[in-house]
Amino acid sequence: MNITAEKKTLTEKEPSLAPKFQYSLFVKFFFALITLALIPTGLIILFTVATYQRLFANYIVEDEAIALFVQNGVLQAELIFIFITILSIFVAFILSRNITQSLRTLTKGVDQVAGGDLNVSFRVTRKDEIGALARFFNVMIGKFREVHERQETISRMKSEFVSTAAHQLRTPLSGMKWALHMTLAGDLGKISSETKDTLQKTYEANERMISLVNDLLNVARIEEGRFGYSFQEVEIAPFLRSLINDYSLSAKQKNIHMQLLLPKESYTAFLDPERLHLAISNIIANAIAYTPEGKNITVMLTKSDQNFLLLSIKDEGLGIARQDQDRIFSKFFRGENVVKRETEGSGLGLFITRNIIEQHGGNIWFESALGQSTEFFLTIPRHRNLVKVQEFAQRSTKGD
Amino acid sequence: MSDSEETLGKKSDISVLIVEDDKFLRGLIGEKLRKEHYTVFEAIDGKEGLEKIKSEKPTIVLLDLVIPETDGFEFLRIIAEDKEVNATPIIVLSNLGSKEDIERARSLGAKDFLVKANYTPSEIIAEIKKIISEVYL
Repeated sequence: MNITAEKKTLTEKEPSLAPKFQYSLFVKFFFALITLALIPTGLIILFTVATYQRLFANYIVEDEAIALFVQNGVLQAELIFIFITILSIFVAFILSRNITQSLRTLTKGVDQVAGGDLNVSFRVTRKDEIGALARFFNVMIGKFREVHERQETISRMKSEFVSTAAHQLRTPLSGMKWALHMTLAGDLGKISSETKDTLQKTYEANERMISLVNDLLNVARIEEGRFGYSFQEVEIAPFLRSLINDYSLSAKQKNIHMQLLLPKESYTAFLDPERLHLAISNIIANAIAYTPEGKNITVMLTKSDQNFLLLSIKDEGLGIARQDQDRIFSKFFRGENVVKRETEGSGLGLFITRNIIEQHGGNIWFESALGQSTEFFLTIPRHRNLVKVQEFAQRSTKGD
Repeated sequence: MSDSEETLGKKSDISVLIVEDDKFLRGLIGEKLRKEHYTVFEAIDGKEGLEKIKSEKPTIVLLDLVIPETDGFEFLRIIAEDKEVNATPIIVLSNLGSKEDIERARSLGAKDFLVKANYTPSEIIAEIKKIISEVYL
């Protein structure tokens, strides 16, 4: 999972397309070629002038003639040196550019592929090693594209299968729900208290099945990019009060003291009430499920900054073991300590929650001490422009 | 006694048309409604539903979306265009329930959208009462 996190690390380490001046291959080639041209030229000139000066000194007596010769020789040498300098700069520039320009184009292409864009291909005219590299790159991208398309098809079919199966399951599950509910309410005749107890448990098991099916449907919709959102400006305090109220009964049944701490000022946030309700509910339901009787759950809202509100949900429950912490937002993952206790759960709740929070443009993270407490933090956007998704946007999810 | 019940007289004067192809579900919700003294009409597909909404003039309609003949969305569209019956409130009771489905049903005139698996018969009846009091008062 953790695709976004991985992406972030990748971006941090990502090599820049234009390397630093001193590391640039262009600069290295350019100066190496100029140096290779100029040093021998300089040395040849130096040695030639020195040799002739010596020779002439032996045969020609007049100093004037030697001075004239040296003057002429130096002038010629200077001209040759300048000519060779210009020529070598020109050749070095052309050669270096010829190599590095193609390499940069290739780097740009690879960078685009690394960023997830597979619609890259090079028009190759060169017949040298770089040309061969580019041609192999084209072949590789073609294969990537094939694999990617196949994976997308499989993933879509899988999601569609889950969607259809979940819909099909809902009909008999609602039949059972209705029949059990009516039987328990005495609508279908009197039942004994033993039967009632058993039927109550059956009803609860059926409810868990319904909620699993709902989770599966939500996950399938997230993966198909059909998990629609409708955002609106919402006053956050009443929203949270009503949400907490929905869970007050189940907290009370476990004798858990749940409190909501709100700031004095009233804030509005920009959110999809139904989706965010689901996201926060998943965390609160976990907190209630994994907190022992008589303990506390604290939900606290603080203004984080101009852009985001910060919500924290702290329980005094089982905690999340260190080795489980990286995988807690993954699909179907459940911590070892909660599985051992035979608590019910699909392992889909936090996956859905993280997706909803991220689509809101917010962040979610947690701190946990095993056997003591877990505190989840999430940020909720205050303005429309912070929201990530377009409403009902047909986007393909990047995860998985 | 709520206000809506007084306006509409006895509870049996309130009639509910259930358009639902699943016999078990139709039977259960029909039974619950009769127990609460509502008059119940049943239709097993969209075509029969359209006939009964015109012949029986129910107070309110409970409509499934995935039904044979005329599907639920088409049913809503036809009713919305029919002046004779378009004032009849319709509650969608379906196991679809994505945001697109809900928006689409609402834009076609559905008063409410209930996902079957998430509502008990008592809660459905509470919704029926709520919609009736909103529409007829």
